[in-house]
Amino acid sequence: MKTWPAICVAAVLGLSGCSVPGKEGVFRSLNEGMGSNLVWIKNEKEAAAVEQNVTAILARPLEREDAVRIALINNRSLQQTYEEIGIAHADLVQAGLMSNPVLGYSVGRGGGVTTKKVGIELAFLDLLWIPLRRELAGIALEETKARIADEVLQAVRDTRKAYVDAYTAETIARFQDEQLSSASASAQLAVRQYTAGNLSKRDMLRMRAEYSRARIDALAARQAASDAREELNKRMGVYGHFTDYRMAETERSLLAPPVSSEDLERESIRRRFDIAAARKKLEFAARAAGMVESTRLLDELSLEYENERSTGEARFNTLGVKIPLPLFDVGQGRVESAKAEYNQAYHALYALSVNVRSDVRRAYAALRYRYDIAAEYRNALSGIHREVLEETGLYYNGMLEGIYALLEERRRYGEIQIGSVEAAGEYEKARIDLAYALGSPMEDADAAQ
Amino acid sequence: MQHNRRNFLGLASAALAAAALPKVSGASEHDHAAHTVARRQLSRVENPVKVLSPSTVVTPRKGKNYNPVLTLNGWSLPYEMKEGVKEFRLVAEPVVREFAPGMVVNCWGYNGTSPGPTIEAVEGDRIRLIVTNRLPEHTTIHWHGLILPNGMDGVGGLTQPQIKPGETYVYEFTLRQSGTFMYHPHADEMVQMAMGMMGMFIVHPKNPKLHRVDRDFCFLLASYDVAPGTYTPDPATMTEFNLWSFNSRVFPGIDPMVVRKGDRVRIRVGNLTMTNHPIHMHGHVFEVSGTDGGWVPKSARWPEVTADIPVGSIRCIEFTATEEGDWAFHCHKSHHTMGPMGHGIPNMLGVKQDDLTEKISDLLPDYMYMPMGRGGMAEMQDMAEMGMALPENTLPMMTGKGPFGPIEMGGMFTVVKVRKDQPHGDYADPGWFDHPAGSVAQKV
Ligand SMILES: [Cu+2]
Repeated sequence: MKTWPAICVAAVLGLSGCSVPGKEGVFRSLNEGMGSNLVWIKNEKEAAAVEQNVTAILARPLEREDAVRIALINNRSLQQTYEEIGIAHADLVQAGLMSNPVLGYSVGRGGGVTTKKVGIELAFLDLLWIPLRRELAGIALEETKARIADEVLQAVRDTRKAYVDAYTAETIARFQDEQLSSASASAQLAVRQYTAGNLSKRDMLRMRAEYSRARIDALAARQAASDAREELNKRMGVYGHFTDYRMAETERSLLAPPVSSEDLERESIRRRFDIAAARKKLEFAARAAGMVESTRLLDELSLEYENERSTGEARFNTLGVKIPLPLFDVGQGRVESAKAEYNQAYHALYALSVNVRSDVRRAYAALRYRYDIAAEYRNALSGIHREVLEETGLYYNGMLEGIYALLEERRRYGEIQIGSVEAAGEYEKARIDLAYALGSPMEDADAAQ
Repeated sequence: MQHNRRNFLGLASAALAAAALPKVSGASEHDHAAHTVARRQLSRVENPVKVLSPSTVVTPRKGKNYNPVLTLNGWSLPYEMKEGVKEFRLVAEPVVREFAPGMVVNCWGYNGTSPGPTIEAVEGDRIRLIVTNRLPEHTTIHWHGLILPNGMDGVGGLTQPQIKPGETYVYEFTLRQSGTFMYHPHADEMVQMAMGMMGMFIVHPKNPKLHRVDRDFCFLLASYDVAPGTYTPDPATMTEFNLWSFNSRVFPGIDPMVVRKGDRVRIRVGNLTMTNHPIHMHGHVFEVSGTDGGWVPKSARWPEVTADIPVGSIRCIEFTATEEGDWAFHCHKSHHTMGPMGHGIPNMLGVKQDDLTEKISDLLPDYMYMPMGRGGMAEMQDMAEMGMALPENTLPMMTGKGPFGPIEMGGMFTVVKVRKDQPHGDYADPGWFDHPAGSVAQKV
């Protein structure tokens, strides 16, 4: 019987030491599952590599997906999220460990006799429960992974939208400068006309007031642009000289949206990571409830070994078992709680699915309408207004209308340009929202449709 | 040859207007008008001796006991003798009129043109006028100034029922006066005259020696409001017209009046606009020899260089072409010698703009922007010379090119050309005057 403890310890060590993949591996599998290329900064060297990478990307005009790339490797809030993998992974490792054996030593004296007791108490059933616990921790890790994947997709969505907002705001600010330029030409001419005695003071002042208003609009547009850019900076996690990047001027194409939303709902339920996380949560609750059920009476069972030796007597070995008597607590509370948690997880998954389906339909409808609006601007209104402007030029040529009418028409055209850029931005954001609603990973974010 | 040219132009302008205005009065009507031109006008005119402009046809003198008038950019209506009655046929219909090269207007007129053809007859003639209405609304014809039976006066509702679309009415009476008269609708007049329904009615004296002249020109004054970029006059306009025309033509689209030095010349001008026109002639003194009321006795005439033509009136002026040269002949209201111009365009006289040119050009699509109006409106003509683009079917405000440069005129302006070697009866344009040495103003 001497070898008992040794066997026990060896068995426990063997079990807990069995192959749990490292957290790096978990992160890699997250990356693969998403088709992304995230970087998890864990030390100075990795931080330096990321900084180098960011510097290289920012050296050229910034495209939308560049911004996403930077956010995924450089945004420290995301890095903070990645650490949850570490935590969940540690839990998994922990779950594979047996409770440490309790070593007891006692000395008793009386009547010239000294009795020494050495005892080891081992929560023996751990041996049985460890695979169960590890399974639970494994599910929890899977859930964490899915949740992080969803958070990454949210970050992708938010960064893309921030980019679109920043780009749109910058373009609008440029158009507002042109509006200002037109108003300034009108005002300058009006002042000269007034000086030459050809225009009343009142009309001249009205022109100047219009210029002033245009100036306010231009300033407000600049403020909006800097605001939107800061949002993007935050998403990319950049500061200092990194914020001096230039945005790429790209011709945005209008891809026609899919004709129906029905497949999209199914698709989203299948793909979304938050749904996957909720599923894992439900699975966890189910397993946890099962575990409670099977361990309700026995989980405090322990095995004891005691070696007793009194002075002048032979050793006395005791092997004992402690079993709680289920007289009062038969585990009802824990079983009930586990069942409630299961039901809760079930309802959570159900509710999430309903909401996701609604989000997909809403995102789809938004995309359709935003597409039609943007297409109307791009394919009709902008062209028509440009022609109106050109025709007005002909009226000006023929002295059928004056310079103010021409400049005013230019401003109306500018308003349409601004409206068109806004509409294109809203459309692009609707696409981004739909891509997220569908749970599309990186590459097919745009092809998701 | 001349037939073909005229025919071709009629068709061409009809097609142009139909293309631009899908649903005004219908392409088929325009085509029809064009065909009517060919059939009615030219097949019935025996051997027209000359075509002076795309639309001037000189009525042959042969076999007539009067000296026919020359209608500027127009023609005289042929007739048939039917048992001693001169029978004229008039068709009221939509027509397309070219006002000057580069501009056509959807008008209403008679027998394919607006104004309609000039009716010429002789005092004492019995005439029959067969009028068919092919307009989209009813009409009548009033024979302005003629003494006739009340029932032939053509006032819709008052002396006859209106002629409904598709109907034909006959007017018949004997000409009791000689002189210069007009015809025009007396039904929905505001619209029908704004659309160009009018014509001249010349009654020659029975005795051809009476009031005899060598050259006898006639035309009607009409005003139109054709908004830039459009083709159809606005019939509701009351004062702000933008086309001021001689026989629905505007300078430089108006025939010159070509005469031989020493000729006795008569110019008959009828006014169917809504304002008076002081018609002024350079180089000669003339006298008013007649109105739509008849001839002015010689003893009552007085010398003039400008004759005011009141609304709804006719003035005939006569002079002897003693002075060689190219003499301006125009309305003296300066805006009546201009093409379409904007109302209320900002006054830029004396306002420097050139330094803003770049700034403004940067804002505009790729056409050349030029600051205008600093020195006046003459820059307009410079731009016209440079071929600036205008709204479609719109004439420049000032235009016309003379031997010394831009003439800067549009609207009611033409030239009386007096030449000593112009053949008798020949109206062909002799070109610009060749000034004798030392007779032109020069820079010092
Ligand atoms: Cu006038």
